[in-house]
Amino acid sequence: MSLFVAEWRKQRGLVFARSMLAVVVLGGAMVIFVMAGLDAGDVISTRQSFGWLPGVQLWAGLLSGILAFVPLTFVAWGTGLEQSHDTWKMVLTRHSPRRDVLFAKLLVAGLWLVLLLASTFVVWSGLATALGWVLPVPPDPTIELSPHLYQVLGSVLRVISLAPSIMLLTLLARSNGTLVGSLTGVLAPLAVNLTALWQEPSLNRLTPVFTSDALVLRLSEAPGAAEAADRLVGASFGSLACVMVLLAWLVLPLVGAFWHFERRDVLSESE
Amino acid sequence: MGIIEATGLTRKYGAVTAVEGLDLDVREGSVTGFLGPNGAGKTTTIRMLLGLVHPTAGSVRVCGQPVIFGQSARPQQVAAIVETPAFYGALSAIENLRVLSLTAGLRLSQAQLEKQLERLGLAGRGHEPVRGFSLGMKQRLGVASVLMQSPKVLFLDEPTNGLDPQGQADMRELLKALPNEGHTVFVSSHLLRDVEQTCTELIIVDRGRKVTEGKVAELLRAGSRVVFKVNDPAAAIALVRRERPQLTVGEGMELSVQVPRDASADQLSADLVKLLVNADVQVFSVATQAADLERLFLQLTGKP
Repeated sequence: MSLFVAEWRKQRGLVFARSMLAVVVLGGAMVIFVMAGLDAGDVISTRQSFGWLPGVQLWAGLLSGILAFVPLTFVAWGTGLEQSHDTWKMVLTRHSPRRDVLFAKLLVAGLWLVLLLASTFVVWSGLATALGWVLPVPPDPTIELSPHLYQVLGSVLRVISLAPSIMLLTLLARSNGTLVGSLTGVLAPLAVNLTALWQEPSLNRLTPVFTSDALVLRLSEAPGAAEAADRLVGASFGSLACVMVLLAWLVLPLVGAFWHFERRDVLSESE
Repeated sequence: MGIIEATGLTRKYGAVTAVEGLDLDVREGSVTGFLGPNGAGKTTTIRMLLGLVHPTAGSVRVCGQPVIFGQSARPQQVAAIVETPAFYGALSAIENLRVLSLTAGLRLSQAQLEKQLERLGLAGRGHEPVRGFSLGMKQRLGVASVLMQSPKVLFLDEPTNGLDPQGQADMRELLKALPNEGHTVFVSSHLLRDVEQTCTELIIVDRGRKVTEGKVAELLRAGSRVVFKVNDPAAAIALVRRERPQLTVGEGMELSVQVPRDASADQLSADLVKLLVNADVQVFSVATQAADLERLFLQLTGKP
C-alpha cells in the first residue's frame, strides 16, 4: 500500500500527468464552447448536443477518441520516469520484489484513468448541461445513451488490455516514456483505424481492439449488436472467448515485463 | 564473520571483466574505504553488493543474509547511494524524502523528515524543488535519504563529491560519527584525504581485483620507509638484502627500507643500524618517511 501511495505522490507531483489531464479536460471544454458558438441556423443538430442526456452522449463520443492513446501515454510515462530521472537505483535499493514496483505503476495508471473519466465527465457533461439551459434549441429527443456508454466501456477494456504491452515496450526500450508514449499516441489511433479495414474475423480475434468491441456488442444486447459482433470476430467466438483473449493480452505482457525487469541489471542511464 | 561478505565476486561484460574473484569481509561498526582508479570495478562491485547487478560468479552476504540479485535487502538493514544521488526534480526535498521513505515501507512524520534535512545542513530548504539544488545539496539530500532509514549498513558512493570545503568537513565528521550510532559504512571515494581521515579500514581494487586491504593505520605504517645516509650505499643495500631478505629495500644513493606490517620504524632502525655498524658501514643519519595514502594508492595501483 505504501508503495502505491509513494508512486501516486510522485506522479501527482510531477508536471506531465497533471498537464496532460488539464489539456484533455480543457481541450474538450473548448470543443464544446466552439460547438455552442456555431450558427444555430446551420448546425441545429450540433446544438442539440446540449442538455443532460446529450451531454453524457457528447462526453462518451469525445472520450472514445481520447482513450485510444492518452491513458497508454500515462502508462509509458509512469514507467519511463524512473529511467528519465535515473531513479531506479533509488527505488530498487529500497524495495523488492521488483514486480511490486511495476504493479504499483499500473495501479497508479489506473487511477489516472479513473480521474480522466471522472473529470471529463464532470466538466464536459456539466458544461453541456449548463449550455442546454442557456441555449434555445431543444435537445434531440431520440437520444439513446447505452450504445455510447458501451463504446466507452469498449475503449476502457482496450486500454486495460494494452497497458502491460506498453509497459513492457517502455522497459525493453529503456525509454523515458516520451518516446513510447508519443509513438503510442500516433500509432494507436492509426492502428485502430487500419485494423478497421481488416475484414477477417479469424485474425480480428487476436486483437484487443476487435475482441473488446465484440465483447461490448455482445454484452449490450442491443438490436443488431450480435450480428455486428459476428461480423467482427465470427459467430462461434462468444463473450467468454473474447474475455480470454483480452486476459491473454493483459497477463502475457505483464508476465513478460516482470520476467524481464527482475533479470535486468540496474545501471545508470548513461552506462 | 563480517557484516558484508563477498566470495569470488565476478562480473563480466562480454569479453571485459569488470570485477574478478573479489573477496570481501567488512567488519561491523567500521568505516571502510573502497578505493580504486577509474574503471577499477568499484561501482559494479557496489551494485552487486546491493543486488542491482547480477554477478557472473560468486556470492554476497550482508547482515548475515544472502544478497539475491533483483531483491533489495530490508530497508532497516541496508541503504545506499549509488553514484550521484538521483531525485525527482519537480518535487521538493521533503516530498522526495517522503516518496523514498514510503517506497521503503516507512511512514515518517514531517518532523522526522525535517530533522534529517536539518542534520545534513538543509534546514529551511525542504520545500524547494530539487531541480534547483546544486550537486552538493543533492549529495546532502542523498545522505539524508539513507540515514532516515536508520540502516545497519550504509553504502555511500563518493559522498563528498560536489561539496564545498565546509561541506566536505561536515561530511567527514558525520561519517566518523556513524559507527557510534550503530552503523557500518562502506564508502567509495576518489578523495584520498577524506578516506585517510574518516575510514578505519581500507580496500583497494585495481582492474577488478583486490590489491590490498587492512586497517588504515596498519597500511600506512607498512607503507612508511626508514632512510639511512651511509658512506657506501651499494655495500649497505647488498648487506641488508643478504642478511634481511624478508625486507623490501629500495635502489638509490641511500639505503631505503620499507617498514614491515608487523614491525615499527624504531625497531627496524635500531636493528639495521646495529647490522650496518657491525659491518663497518658508517651511518650518518636515520630518518623515517611516513607514508600517505596517495603514495600507497599510486604504488599499489601501478602508477608510482
